[in-house]
Amino acid sequence: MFCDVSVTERDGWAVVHLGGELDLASVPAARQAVFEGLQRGRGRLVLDLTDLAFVDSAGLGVLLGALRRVNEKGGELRVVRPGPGPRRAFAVTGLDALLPLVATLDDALASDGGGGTTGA
Amino acid sequence: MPEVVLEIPARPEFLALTRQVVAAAVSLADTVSADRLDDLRVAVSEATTNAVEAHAQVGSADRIVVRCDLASDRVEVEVVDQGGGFDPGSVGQAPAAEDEDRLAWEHGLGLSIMRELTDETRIVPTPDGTAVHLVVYARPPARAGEDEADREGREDG
Repeated sequence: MFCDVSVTERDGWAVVHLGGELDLASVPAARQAVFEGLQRGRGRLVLDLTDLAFVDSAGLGVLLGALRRVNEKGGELRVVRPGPGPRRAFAVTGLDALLPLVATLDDALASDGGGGTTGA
Repeated sequence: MPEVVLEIPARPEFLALTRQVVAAAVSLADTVSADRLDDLRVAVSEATTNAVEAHAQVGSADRIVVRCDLASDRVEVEVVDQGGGFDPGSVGQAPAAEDEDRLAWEHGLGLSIMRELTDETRIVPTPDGTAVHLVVYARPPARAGEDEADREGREDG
């Protein structure tokens, strides 16, 4: 398994950790984790991409889907910024401007999102 | 020019292997920077994902062929499927990222990413499917002359 997926709860948030390589092969597991996270966090969802090494459009679709579902529920989404590998895919698709990115998981869990989200 | 050819079953679990083999072959050739290799890795993943999905749509059990030409001035990767063909003109332009239609359009995002991350992306219909050519130059062709001039300038100074 190239993708490492887990769902935990912390400080009233559901934290979905997506590590490794997020592509068409790992999309079903990632999508299931997002669905579970939305239920467990009651709409308060953190996507932790700290350990994400690779993402392509199939994986980006899961992240967009999470944003859409959180918006539908009137919930809140925070996304912990990935390392350098996936950043180009974020930049060329405009997702880095669209997703509420924060620098660290601690920032995501802070009440103010670590002093506000960081844009592109 | 040296060529590396990989044949994979048309299944998603072989995408990671495809990226690894292409990246390893390109690293051996040592013609493009690490950043450009990251870009190519994503583009290859997009092309191969499209091929896997095309095969699934027509129920093809054939293999997908991934060919890497490692020239001295560029890397050219060709992903050949037998998935019945694909019309790049039907995908259209990307709606604005915050537009709701963007989500429905996601499926065509791969083509847009390939074009953005390579120097050339060509979609060529074949009798049985599609060949996608992805080209990354060792140095952007439009700027090659400037770089040369810059270097000469520095050597003079």
